[in-house]
Amino acid sequence: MGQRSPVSSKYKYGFHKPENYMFKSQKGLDEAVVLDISNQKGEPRWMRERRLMAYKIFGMKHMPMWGADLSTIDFNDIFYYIRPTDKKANTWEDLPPEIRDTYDRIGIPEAEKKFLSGVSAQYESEVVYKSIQTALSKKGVIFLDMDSALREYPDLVRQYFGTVIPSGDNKFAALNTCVWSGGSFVYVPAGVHVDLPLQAYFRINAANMGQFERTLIIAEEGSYVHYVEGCTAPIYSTDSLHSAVVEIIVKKGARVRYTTIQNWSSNVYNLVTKRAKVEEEGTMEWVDGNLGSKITMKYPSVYLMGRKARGEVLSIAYAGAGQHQDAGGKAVHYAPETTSQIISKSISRGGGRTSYRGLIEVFAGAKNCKSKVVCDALILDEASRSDTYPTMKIGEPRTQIEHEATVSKIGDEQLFYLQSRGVTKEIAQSMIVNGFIEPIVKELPLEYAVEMNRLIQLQMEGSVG
Amino acid sequence: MKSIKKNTLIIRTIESGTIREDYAVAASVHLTLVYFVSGSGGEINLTPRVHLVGDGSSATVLGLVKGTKSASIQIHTLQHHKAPNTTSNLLIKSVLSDKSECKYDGGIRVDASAQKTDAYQRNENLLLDEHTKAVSSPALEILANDVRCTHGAVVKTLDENELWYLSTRGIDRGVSRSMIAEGFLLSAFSQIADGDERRQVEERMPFTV
Repeated sequence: MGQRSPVSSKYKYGFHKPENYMFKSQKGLDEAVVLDISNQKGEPRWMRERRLMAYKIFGMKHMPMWGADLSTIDFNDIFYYIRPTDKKANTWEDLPPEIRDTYDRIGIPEAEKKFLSGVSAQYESEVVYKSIQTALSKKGVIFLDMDSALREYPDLVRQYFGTVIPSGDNKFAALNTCVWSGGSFVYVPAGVHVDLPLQAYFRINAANMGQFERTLIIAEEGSYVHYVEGCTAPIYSTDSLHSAVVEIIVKKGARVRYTTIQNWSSNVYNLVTKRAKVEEEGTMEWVDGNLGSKITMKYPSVYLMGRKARGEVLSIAYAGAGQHQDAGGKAVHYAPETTSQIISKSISRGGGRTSYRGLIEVFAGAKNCKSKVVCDALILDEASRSDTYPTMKIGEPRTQIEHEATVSKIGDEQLFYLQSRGVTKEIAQSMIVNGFIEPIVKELPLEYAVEMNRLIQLQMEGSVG
Repeated sequence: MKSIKKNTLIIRTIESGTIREDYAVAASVHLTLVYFVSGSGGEINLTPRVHLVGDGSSATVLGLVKGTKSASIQIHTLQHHKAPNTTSNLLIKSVLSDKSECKYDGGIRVDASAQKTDAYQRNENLLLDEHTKAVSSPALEILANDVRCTHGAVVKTLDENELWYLSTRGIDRGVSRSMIAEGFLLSAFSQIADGDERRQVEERMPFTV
């Protein structure tokens, strides 16, 4: 790994601010902790009961029998809820100085000046900073942290919460449902186009603290919204668990794009369930970048429920030393004439391991569906590993399903061509890798594309072996 | 485990039962392995595994599968590259009608010692009738870096344009259907590089579609 590599042990944002919390639940998980969280938040009864039920399900569900090695997670050695400050700040100046300082170091104010329409920054378990441009609320768009949404729009939350990903979906969805805190709630009324991406910066800052965001996005008929989530996290001495649930409802003719750049520090377990239900003629697009964390298991899914619904997953994964990125995507076709596309690009280096894992399922009766999956993997050195585990379950003959995957190293001819034109081997490699991921980078908002290219450049430094 | 020490062509016809075969291919030797699988009711479970153990060894594995009635055909393959400079090429094609199903899962495993591996794996399924089903789970596990490994999978039905083309040539729909399905299967033979071997395989094809 290069000395300046952001996901190596010399983590770029690996500073650690002293803790200053109003409330911190005890380590470990039992019914009392779950009740404690709910009481601290003053939640309605239905949510408290939902949490308790999910806690029971969590106890009954097994750990996944496939995927990455999760044997070192100790559920009793994790803080499940931390609340940093009691009241929310509305401007940068109102934020506690050490939190502001943290944000300044990752450059959020500059980013905000440029492109952001609303910033909802998660520090520890709760959103403490939020600014929403007045234009958003004029259009009737709701963009809140989940806790506030539950207080201010309880009926809306109750109507949709857990309808896409029920507590019993998997062990980590159950865990999230019983201890969730923070995350975003977005509601876009019918016909409304939100022109600028809604952005939320996530951040965790306590050793051994779990992050359990819960995000819910509802796009009413004919609406459009682009939600952007980017993570950086400081480095800790012990492992940290991040287990979010993201539910998205795309109504008739609506379009939602959800972009993630995941760059957790290299000790974080990132086990996330993300799923969208897409109704007739709706479109869901996941752009999912995984650069950081120790282990990531994440397969953004589209459930195509209505005729002509469309789903897309663009996934990019980078695994350096000590990292395992087990990522991919799923498309489930329930209705006729639905289409899906999954494009995955992965790079493994310095002993890292990338795995593509995906599912295409077409149920009988979903006629004239089309699906295409393309996975390309680059292995940059002898110590690294790449796997591809796609599954196709096709119960309807009138379909067109294609899957292609290729694993290779950087071509000698490509390197030779560039070197013969006077480009050094190091720069040539970095150019080729940048070209390799370009189809996905060009889908990112500008500042993320800049950041992504810079990260890849840093990763590639000193990589000539 | 059967050792393959000189260039070999093996043709197997399978109509029922559970079959598991392991082949170890020695240095600079080529193995061509062809399975004709036809199921018309019961279960077939076929597991061919090819281990490329010698430097420069190579293998071509073809599976031509025909499923009718309520046949349930399961095929599990492994292309295990243990030595450097090895090549494997696998193609499984199925034509399914009535209520038949084909479940394919296959792995390419490239050990860290098997540099300069070139591995290919492809599974194509042609579904002719309403209640047919195909499940395809190819997998790649690559532990070496100087390699090229590709896999692909396709599930499709008859192309209306092709059917229309044949019908404008006066061929009725039932005949066109079998012509296209047969062409789909037979095209697999083009994977066999050796002309003699290819002719032998063509002659010994035990079924029509």
